[in-house]
Amino acid sequence: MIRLVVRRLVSAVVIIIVLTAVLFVLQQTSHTNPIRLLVGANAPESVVQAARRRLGYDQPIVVQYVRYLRDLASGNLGISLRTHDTVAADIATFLPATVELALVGMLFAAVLSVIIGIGTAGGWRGSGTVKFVTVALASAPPFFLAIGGILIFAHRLTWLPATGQTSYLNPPSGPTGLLVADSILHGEPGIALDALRHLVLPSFCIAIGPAVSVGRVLRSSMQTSLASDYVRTARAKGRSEFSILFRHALRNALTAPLAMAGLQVGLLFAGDIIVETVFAWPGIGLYVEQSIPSGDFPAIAGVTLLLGVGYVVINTAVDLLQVAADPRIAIS
Amino acid sequence: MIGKKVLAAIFAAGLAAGLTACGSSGSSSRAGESAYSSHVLRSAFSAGLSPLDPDTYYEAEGLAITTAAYQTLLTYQPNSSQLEGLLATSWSVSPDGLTYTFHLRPGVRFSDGTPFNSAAAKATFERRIIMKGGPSYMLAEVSAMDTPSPLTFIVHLKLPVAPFLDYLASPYGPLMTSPSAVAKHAAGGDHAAGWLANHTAGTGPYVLTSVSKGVNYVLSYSNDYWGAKPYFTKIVFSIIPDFSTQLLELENGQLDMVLHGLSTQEYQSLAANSKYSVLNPPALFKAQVWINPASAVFGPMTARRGLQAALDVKQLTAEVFGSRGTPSTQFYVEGMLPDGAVPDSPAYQPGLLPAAVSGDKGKRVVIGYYGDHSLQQLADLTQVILQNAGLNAIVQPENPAQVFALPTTPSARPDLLVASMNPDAAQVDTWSRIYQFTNGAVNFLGCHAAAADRLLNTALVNPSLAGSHAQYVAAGDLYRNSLCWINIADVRDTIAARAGLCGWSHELPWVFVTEFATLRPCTQ
Repeated sequence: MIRLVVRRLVSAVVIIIVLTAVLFVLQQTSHTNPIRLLVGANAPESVVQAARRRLGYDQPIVVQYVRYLRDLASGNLGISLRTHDTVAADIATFLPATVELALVGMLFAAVLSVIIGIGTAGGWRGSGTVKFVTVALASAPPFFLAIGGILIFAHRLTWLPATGQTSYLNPPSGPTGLLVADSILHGEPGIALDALRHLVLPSFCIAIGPAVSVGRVLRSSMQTSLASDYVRTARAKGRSEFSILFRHALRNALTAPLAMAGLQVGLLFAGDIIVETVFAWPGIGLYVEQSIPSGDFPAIAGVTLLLGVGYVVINTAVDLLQVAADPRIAIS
Repeated sequence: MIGKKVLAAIFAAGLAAGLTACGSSGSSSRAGESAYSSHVLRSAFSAGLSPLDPDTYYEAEGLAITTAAYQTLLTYQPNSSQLEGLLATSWSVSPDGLTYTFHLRPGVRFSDGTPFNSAAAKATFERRIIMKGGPSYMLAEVSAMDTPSPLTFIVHLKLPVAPFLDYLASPYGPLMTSPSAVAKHAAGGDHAAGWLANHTAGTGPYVLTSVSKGVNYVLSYSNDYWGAKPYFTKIVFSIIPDFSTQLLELENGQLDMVLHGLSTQEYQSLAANSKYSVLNPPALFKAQVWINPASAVFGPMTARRGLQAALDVKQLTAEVFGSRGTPSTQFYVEGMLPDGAVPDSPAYQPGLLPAAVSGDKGKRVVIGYYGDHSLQQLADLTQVILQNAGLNAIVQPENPAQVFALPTTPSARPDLLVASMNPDAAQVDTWSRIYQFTNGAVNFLGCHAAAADRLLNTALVNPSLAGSHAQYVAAGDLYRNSLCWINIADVRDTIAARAGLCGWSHELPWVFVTEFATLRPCTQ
């Protein structure tokens, strides 16, 4: 297990180096001038050049890259050209909203994938309908789903809010950064409920794609498990259906869905950028979406690195979960 | 059986969550509960704003904050290029154009209670120069400042600067800032730049009371404001990047106003609905087709002339901008010079283009566009015209970082660029010097007319208003004849709001903003 973790840590470092190199090359070949954008159209050339020098953009690309890696090693992600704050501070501001959205999204995805996977494999009534509806929804692009959700649930039915994290102007902040949790901790259940209402549509939109993918894999694995000898033996012993499904079949069927879940995290974050933009969700997806047109390289690179490392960490966690679910993997 | 129980449990949990979700909880601080009767106005920005330091902030969307919190010495009469006093009640200019004397408005205080006087005006000018931000060019020729009395402020220039008074009325011009606030919040020699990024200290009717990054900006009435108390004592700008979502929130009643970004069709739809008002105040936008002089097809003048003749300005304006635009009839932006000063109304002759590019049939022409749906539509229609002339035209978007790189990256320039740009002030120099001047800061495609540049330089330092105007007219003629820029339409600023608001006011150089302090429900 330690070897696995070490291997993944090394791969995370490699990913960082490769990602930053790719980003630097893209930055150089993209013909953008973020400095002119930073100081303004009318700014005299002397102001533009001063800003270039101050931010190190006058240096050769290799020097910029080496300096970036050196700063990165000390935790310095640079300064955003758009917000003028450190990228680390910006990420600290915007990340909690994304984490909250992702957590609720994963919860949605887990529930839906269980209904799709176990329900259809176990022949639960209504699970086929759920599967049909979710597959249909998952086939729609995230922006379409988001706009459709707003049109139906916010605009037409007015059941749910369309934008933002809360309707309150001054919601409690800290200690977790997660609004629902913070509101409860500050004794503000009204704000917590309001925050939950705001979470429903965006989290469903990011959850639906991964839910269907994981659910289908889970269904296939469950069908294999349910047809196996040990399940037949358990049934012959008179075990309850719940015990057979969740204690015997599910645990053995989890390996492939867990692997798929790890892969789907990337899809979830890809959809997150679009969903945060449409729902005006103040997370890193929104942050990076607004940084791209400005050519705000430090911000784009910071978020890209965060997502890259996050992807490695989550997949490492998935590997460990797979080992826990099926110890034979560790042996092999 | 078990499956049913599990499903039932899941659905029960879902139902509980749904009921929880649908249940609303009341609180007076909820942003979504405001209506015109509540003195809270709700609008939106499409992105988080750069630091709002009055001496370095240089973007359009945040003008909604800076014009509400800060004021300039001069201003423009509503929808006009005529100057009038704001924090200066009167002014005079020496015959040599080197000395400007301003008589300041008495009884004005900054939002922190500091009195506004000549020392504060001088400190503001000094900070603008020291900060060396983008708008600092406006004071580049200032040589000295005198404060002979608390209400008299004298500015000396090294050279005459024809647009100097317009600079002082520009929304990006020197915004009077409390010197006490600057001194109090300065840290590490930053002249309070860190504090002013998220706070305001001006003489305007509002003060920025809350900035929640990525979420919203809140303006509140400044108790020290010297003018009449506005009806709306709080303005909330939520950050909603997607304009379709902004439109839906307007229709849901969650926003009172969308400041920009909707399509012409969406504005037309709202205008046809009695529940909404669509305002089209004049602005300084000019929609144009820019020509790359290095283009294989449009480098030659005959092809440029053919293109100009093939663009049916009236038809394109009506189709693309509707009531938001008027067909361009003069080279400079509408309102800068008297109508007819530099006329530009070429005849529509669609037959000229195919003949002019007959030797280029099948050649690839890249049409870049920079801007919203309307500019994309204009680019698309231009593409059709070029395709019909036998050219292989393609359309590509240019994002802000890309388009601002074009002046220094000739290889990245498209053959044509469709854009709608605006200057800092309602004065010719602020327009031509950056967009048309040789190597101008944002002369995107590098097309130029050297003789016109010389006239522009002469006009800039001409202390005679009439003489300067004549030279600007002559420069305009030359720029127009270069066919580097084909004018399509003068485009208005467009604001969509829930019906029932009166007191709309707007200044020519303003974009994406209105005068919030004069707005009130029509019933009041």
